[in-house]
Amino acid sequence: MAELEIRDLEMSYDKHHQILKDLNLQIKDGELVSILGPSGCGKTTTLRIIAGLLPQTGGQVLVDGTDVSKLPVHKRQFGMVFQSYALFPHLTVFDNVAFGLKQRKVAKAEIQKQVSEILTITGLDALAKRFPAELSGGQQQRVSLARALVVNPRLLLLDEPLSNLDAKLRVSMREEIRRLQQRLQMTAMFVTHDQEECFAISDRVAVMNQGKIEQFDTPQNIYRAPKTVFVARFIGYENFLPVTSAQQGQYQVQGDTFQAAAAVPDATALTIRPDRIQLVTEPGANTVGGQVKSSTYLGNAYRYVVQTALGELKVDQVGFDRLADQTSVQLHLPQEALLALQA
Amino acid sequence: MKNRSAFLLLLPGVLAICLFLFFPLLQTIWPTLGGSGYSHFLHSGYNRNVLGRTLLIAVITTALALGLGLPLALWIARQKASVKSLLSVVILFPILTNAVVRNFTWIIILGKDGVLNKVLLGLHLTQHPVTLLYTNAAIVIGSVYLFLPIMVTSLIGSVDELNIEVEEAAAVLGAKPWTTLTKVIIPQLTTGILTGSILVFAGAMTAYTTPQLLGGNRHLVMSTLIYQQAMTLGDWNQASVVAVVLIIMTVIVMGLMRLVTRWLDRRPANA
Repeated sequence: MAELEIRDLEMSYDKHHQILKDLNLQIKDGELVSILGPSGCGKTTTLRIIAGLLPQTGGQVLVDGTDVSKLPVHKRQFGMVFQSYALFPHLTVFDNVAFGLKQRKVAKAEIQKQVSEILTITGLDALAKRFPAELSGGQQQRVSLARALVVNPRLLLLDEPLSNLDAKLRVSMREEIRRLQQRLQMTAMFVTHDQEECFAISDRVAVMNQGKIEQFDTPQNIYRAPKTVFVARFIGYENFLPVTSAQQGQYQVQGDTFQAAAAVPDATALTIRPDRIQLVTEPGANTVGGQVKSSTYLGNAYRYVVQTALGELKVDQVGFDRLADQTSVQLHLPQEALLALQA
Repeated sequence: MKNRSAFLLLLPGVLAICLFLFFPLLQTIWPTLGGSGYSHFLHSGYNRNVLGRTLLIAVITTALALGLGLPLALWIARQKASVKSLLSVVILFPILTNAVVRNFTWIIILGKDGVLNKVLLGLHLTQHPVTLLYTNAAIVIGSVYLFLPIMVTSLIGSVDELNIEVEEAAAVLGAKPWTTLTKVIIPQLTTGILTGSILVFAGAMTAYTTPQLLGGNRHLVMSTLIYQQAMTLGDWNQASVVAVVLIIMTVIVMGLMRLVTRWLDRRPANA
């Protein structure tokens, strides 16, 4: 296994359009890191450059400290799982999995042994003689995974491997990927646009937007403390208050002053989760008044849309009777739950 | 009721095929049965020579068309859409020209005083003009030129269906480009290769104009032999025999090709 470092990676297909800008990323040995971002943000491009399928226009890809940028794909000794599975349609499951070992000139008996072993681990031993077209999507993805793992790659790259599977299978496959990655102690990079999927299996997550990594941290830290408006929005924050000026943890929002959890000098917005907003009776610090505009029953709570002087805010409240529309309310935004975000 | 009236739509086609294909075919085969036509044909060394030459020319033409067509098809199919559609039309150009004109061009190129000999003499690569025209080689050259577009077109269809990620997967797994070509790309193209080869082979086996104009009288093939038997010698029965032998040989070789492809690509056909 290995450590991966991406240094100042740059990519553009034409001179005018930068797909990747000064990308830096480090993956530790045995770590599973995800790149999370919307389609078109450059995450697949990054993965393809690491694999050697695309030449970068600048920067380096280092594996265990050695620059592999000039190394052709077939010499990099990585494993890759593709969104389309990319199985060899003319070969049986067994031969698909054996392909990489044959390229490495492994002896026949050894191939037999290693392939059988990985087919057992991935639960495919009964399907060894089948052809890809005779398998379900989940089975095909399993073969694709087994094929990438059997060569004991220095780095496992996964390009949206679950997006063609149905919801139930996605959950079990992602757990399977995590299980195998842990068991084989593999350094892995996982590309996805699905936040839940990525948080569930990753050690660390790089949230990417327009060719830049906006935040690189553990799933917990990203969820608890998103750094930028983009990250917050992408992982599901819904309330955004535009900041006009920021000073030492004091933020001006349309004339009102709010105190947020941390001091972010160049903050442009404040955010808070709907369930952290409290209904209070008296106006006070970090409090804004408004009127209930609409309400929805969510099962565990009511979701109110409240019109305030700062704009609409979404508020989730548990255990109260439903408030009628037009009810006047005071909303308290607790300092510790109010996060300041950069642009 | 609905099905019956739908069946009526097939009637013109079925009738046309019966009238213009099966009927003449039976009429060709019928008079050859019973007589000594076939043993006569096979006992003649000359005839066996013609049959052998026809098969050889068709096989070499098919092999060359495949060898030249495969890289071309891979290259064309992977161009961006606008370039690809332009190239697909350009490649069809030999088919769009008249067969006689096309072969006269080759006569001009390959003849004793032809372009090619002038170049060879000019470069002092040879002292005397090389005999190119009216040889088996000339027939092969003309046939490859004629049938290459058919091969390329049917291969492009197959290449279009390839998933490029499959080749990338092979490369990531350590396959060198050559291995990817021979072990991953070509095995997936068997259908296109078979279709193209059958079309080219059948075409080259039965072509008339090209061997007639480029082979001359001393290099007869089956189709020119049929013409000679029927029109020059007036022996319609023997012409029919040659025609039936030609059909049988073509069917046998096409069957063999199908077997070989089956063997190369053992995927279940209906998966």
